[in-house]
Amino acid sequence: MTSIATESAVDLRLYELLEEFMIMLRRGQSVPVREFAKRYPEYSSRIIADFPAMLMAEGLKPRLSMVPGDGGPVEAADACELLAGYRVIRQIGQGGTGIVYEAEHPRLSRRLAVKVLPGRKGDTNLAERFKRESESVARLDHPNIVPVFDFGERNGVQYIAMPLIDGQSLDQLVKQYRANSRSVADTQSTAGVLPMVTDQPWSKLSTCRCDSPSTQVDLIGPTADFKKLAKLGADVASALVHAHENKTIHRDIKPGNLILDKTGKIWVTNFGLATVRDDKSDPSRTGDVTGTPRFIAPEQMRGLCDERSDVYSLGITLYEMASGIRA
Amino acid sequence: MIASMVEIDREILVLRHIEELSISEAPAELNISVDTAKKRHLRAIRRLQQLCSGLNGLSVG
Repeated sequence: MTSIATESAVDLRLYELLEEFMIMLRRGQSVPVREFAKRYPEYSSRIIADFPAMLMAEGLKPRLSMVPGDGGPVEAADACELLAGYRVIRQIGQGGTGIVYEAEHPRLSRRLAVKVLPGRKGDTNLAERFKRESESVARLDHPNIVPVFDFGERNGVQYIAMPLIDGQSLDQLVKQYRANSRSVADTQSTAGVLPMVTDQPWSKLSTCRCDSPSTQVDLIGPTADFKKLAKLGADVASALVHAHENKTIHRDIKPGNLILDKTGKIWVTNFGLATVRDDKSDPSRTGDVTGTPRFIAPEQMRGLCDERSDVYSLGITLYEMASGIRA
Repeated sequence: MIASMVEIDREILVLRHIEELSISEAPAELNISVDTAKKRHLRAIRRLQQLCSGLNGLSVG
C-alpha cells in the first residue's frame, strides 16, 4: 500500500517538473532532457524515460504559437503585429536562438523568413547572441550566404528578416535518404515513419520552406553524384572563407544549417552561434562550448574555437553526405 | 502514431500539446479532476514512449 502512495507522490512531483520543462520549451528556453535531468538527480532516470515522448507530443503541433518577447502565449496573428510591419504567414522553424516565421513584406509583396528572439525580456545572454548574429551576418556579402534583409528591434522584440529560400536543408535530405534506404532494406513497414516523429522541435531552425518534396537525393550516399557534391562543398568552403576574412566564425556548420534551393544552389544560414574576432583576441579564443556535438571539432568541446573548427565541421558534414551514414 | 492510441490517452495529449490548454483548463474540458488529468497525461506520455521504443528508440539529448 505504501509503495502505491509513494509512487503516486513521485508521479505528482514528476508532473510538476514536466510542466516546468514544457513551459521552458514553449518560451524557447529549452534545455536538453539530460541537462534538465541533472538538475533533479532524484528524478533523473524518470525524466530521461518519460520526457522524450512529451517532446514528441509537442512536436505534433502544426504550429507552435510562441511568444516573441514577453513569454506569454499569443496567437500567431497577434505576433505578426509585433513583427515590425511584416505580415506573418506561418511558423516554419524554431530553435535555441529564435523562432522563424514565413512572412510577407506588405509593400514589396515579397516572401521573407523573419526570425524573432523568443523567450522573456531581460534574457541578456540570448539577446546578445541574437544581436551578434544580426550584426555578423549583415556585414557579410557572399552568393552562398543567406543575406540579412533587415534587422532591428520593435516593441521590445528583436528580429532579423532574410529572404525565404525555397528548398530543403541538407539534414532533411539525409533523413529522407535514410528513410528510403531503410524502408527498402527493412521489412518493418513502420521504420520509414520514425525520422519524422523523432524530430525535436528546436532542431528545425532553417530559413527555408521545408514541405516541398525532394528531388535532390542524388547528393547523398554511395550512389551520389560526387562532382555535384564536391561543388557543393567548395561553395560552402568559399562562403566560410568570406566569413572568416570578415572575422566571423560560424561555429555550427552542419547539414541542418545548409539549405539547397530548387536551382541546386547551396546556402549557409543560421549564424546564431557565430563569434566575431577582434584583432586583439587570441587566435584560439576561449568561450562557451556551443554547436552540435557530432559536428563540432574536438577543441570546441573544450571551449576553443577558430576558423579551422568550421572547416572540421564542413568535413564531417561532407562525410555524412558522401557516405549516407552518421559520422 | 497518435492515431493508434486509445481515445482517453489521445484526448489529453491533444488538449495539452496541440490545443495548449493549461492543467486547470484541460480537466474542465474533460469534466475530470486536476489530479486525474495529471495522471492521465503522464500515463498517455508513457504509452506514447512505449509505442516509440517499439520502433527504434527516441534520441535524448
